[in-house]
Amino acid sequence: MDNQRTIRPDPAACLARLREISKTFIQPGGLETQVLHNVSLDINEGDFIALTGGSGSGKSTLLYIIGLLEQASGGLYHLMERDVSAMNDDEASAARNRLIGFVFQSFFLIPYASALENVLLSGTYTNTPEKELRLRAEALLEQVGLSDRIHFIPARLSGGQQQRVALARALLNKPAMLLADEPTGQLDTATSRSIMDLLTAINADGTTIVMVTHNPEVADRAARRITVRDGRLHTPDGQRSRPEEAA
Amino acid sequence: MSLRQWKRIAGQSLMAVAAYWTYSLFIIGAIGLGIASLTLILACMRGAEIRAGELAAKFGPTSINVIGGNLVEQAVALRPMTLTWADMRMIRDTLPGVERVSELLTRNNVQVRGGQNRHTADTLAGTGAHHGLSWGWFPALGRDFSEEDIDQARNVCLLGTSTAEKLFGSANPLGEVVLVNDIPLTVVGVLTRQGLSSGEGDFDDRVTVPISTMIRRFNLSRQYLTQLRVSFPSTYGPEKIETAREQLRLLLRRSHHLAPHATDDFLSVTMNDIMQFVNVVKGGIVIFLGSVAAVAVLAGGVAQANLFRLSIAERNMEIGLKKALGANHKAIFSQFLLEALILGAGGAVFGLLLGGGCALLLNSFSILPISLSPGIFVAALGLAGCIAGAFSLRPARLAAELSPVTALKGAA
Ligand SMILES: Nc1ncnc2c1ncn2[C@@H]1O[C@H](COP(=O)(O)OP(=O)(O)OP(=O)(O)O)[C@@H](O)[C@H]1O
Ligand SMILES: [Mg+2]
Repeated sequence: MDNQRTIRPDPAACLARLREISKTFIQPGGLETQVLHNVSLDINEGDFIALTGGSGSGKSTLLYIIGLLEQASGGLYHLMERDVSAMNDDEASAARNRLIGFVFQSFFLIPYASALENVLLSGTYTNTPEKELRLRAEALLEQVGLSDRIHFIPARLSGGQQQRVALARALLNKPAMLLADEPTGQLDTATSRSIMDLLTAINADGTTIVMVTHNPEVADRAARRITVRDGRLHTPDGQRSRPEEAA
Repeated sequence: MSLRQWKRIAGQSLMAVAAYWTYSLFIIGAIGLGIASLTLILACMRGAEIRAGELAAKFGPTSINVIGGNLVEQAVALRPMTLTWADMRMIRDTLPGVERVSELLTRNNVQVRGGQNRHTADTLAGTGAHHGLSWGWFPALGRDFSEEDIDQARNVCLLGTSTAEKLFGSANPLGEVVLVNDIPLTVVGVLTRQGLSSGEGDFDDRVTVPISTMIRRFNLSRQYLTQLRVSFPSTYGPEKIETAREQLRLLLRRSHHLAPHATDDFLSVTMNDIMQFVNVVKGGIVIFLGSVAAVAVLAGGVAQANLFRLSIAERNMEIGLKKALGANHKAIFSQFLLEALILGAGGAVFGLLLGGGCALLLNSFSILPISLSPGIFVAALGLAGCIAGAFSLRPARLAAELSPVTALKGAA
């Protein structure tokens, strides 16, 4: 019994369970491209996963499926024990709002809004009172080292600072899972390192992180490294990813 | 969505309207122009309606004007004199209910000199005593004709305001002598401004003299009259006036010895006729101006829809991001619809100011009578809201349905 538990993680601790997930894009001409092939993956509470792989291998697509921004074409996906394919737009939106935080390579900050307003944007679709949101946003901006720039618009912030704002925005609703698509892709080595320090700290505080990256040094900071090759998952030593190990 | 979320979304709509101010200005401009033309048109129509009412009131609801000649079969210029003093006396003495019968003799285009000026007045009119009471047209300055003026055929006159201005400018013409066809007349009064004109010219460009003076000094017929005005008690309703008109018609036909199938050699006009004529004209104006306004408003709506779509295309990142942050269909849709309504309200305000401004300008140059009522403001606001809403439903829905990944990839 105990033995089995260590192999097969406790369901309560498994945030996201993907089984035989496939994704096929149908282009306007009718041409079909299968981007993901039978991907199975368990994301457990506290995980820090780095997805690496060549360009076009399907990393972002997988991340977006995990983040409910894209729907899988086949397979099963349970997010916190809920079947994602049965969710309607409202439920999926609510799940994104409450459970998931996103960080993107190109930051995606609203150009005409201040750092604080950008962070608060995540709170728009919650019922958390304004005051509490504001306290949290200020605390997060302080945590990412920007307390002296909360009223700056993005154009007046450096790339690294913009990504910190995006990070604070992703954390505002205390998500269970932080999904980052090449968060350091546009940053220099030193700045990347400081962002990774932040991510490591956030992970240490209990937030699960799934991160896509090209950079081996960045990937090394993650506890689990998974390589995506032609839409299939591989562990670094050539073995298959965990759920299939257990099978 | 909760009230709290609505408030936040509304706040973001306002922020976006301000941030994308170039689009906002164009959209407000497009809607505003539509609303402005509509405001102006409504104001003109209201003005025309009020003017028609004034005209009818001026005419008097319980009077019948009888004009000599067969207007249907003869050109206006050839109108023969068919009404006689005998007709007038007969109507006064035999038509039931008659309160007053007033006579009028006119002549067009007379030479007037006065105050060192020379002017051809549109009309020379001869009337009985009490011009004000008889024609509902009182002197604004000076006095009315008295019984003695008529009995003694005095050389006095009342000037229309246009004539008075032409001759004396802003100086007071009372007591001055004017020469009409070399006959000297003392100005005893200036009539109120009518602001009307007909085929025979400006109503206010006239010299009015006692009818006896007109006949004697200007060698006009002692037998015929141009027009008669038959007044009934103010308690008479429209039906009673119609009955009286019919009686009057039969009376005149008999006295003119018209054969049973001959057309009338006179025309009777009541306030009702004027109102009906105005309504027909107004109906035409409403259809014409209404379609102009509809096109303007529609053009505004289409312009807004296109501008809105452009603006949304530019804001793909914002849409994708908000979806990633947990905005559902409804939240995105509402935000864009709210933006459209804010812009619509802006357009309404701009349009009202522009349209109202133009209306006041037209009014101040007395090009068109204008009336701006609160109803117009409410209508414009409602209409702008409807256009803005209707034409942005589709763009807003497209925004809401945008796939977040596509939106974000397009923006990266
Ligand atoms: N909407 C789409 N329609 C068709 N094909 C798509 C679509 N989105 C992605 N693809 C294809 O899917 C494949 C995987 O794309 P994905 O963005 O997941 O790659 P990636 O691993 O993130 O690459 P990169 O490292 O360059 O970001 C690519 O070949 C891409 O062309
Ligand atoms: Mg990618």
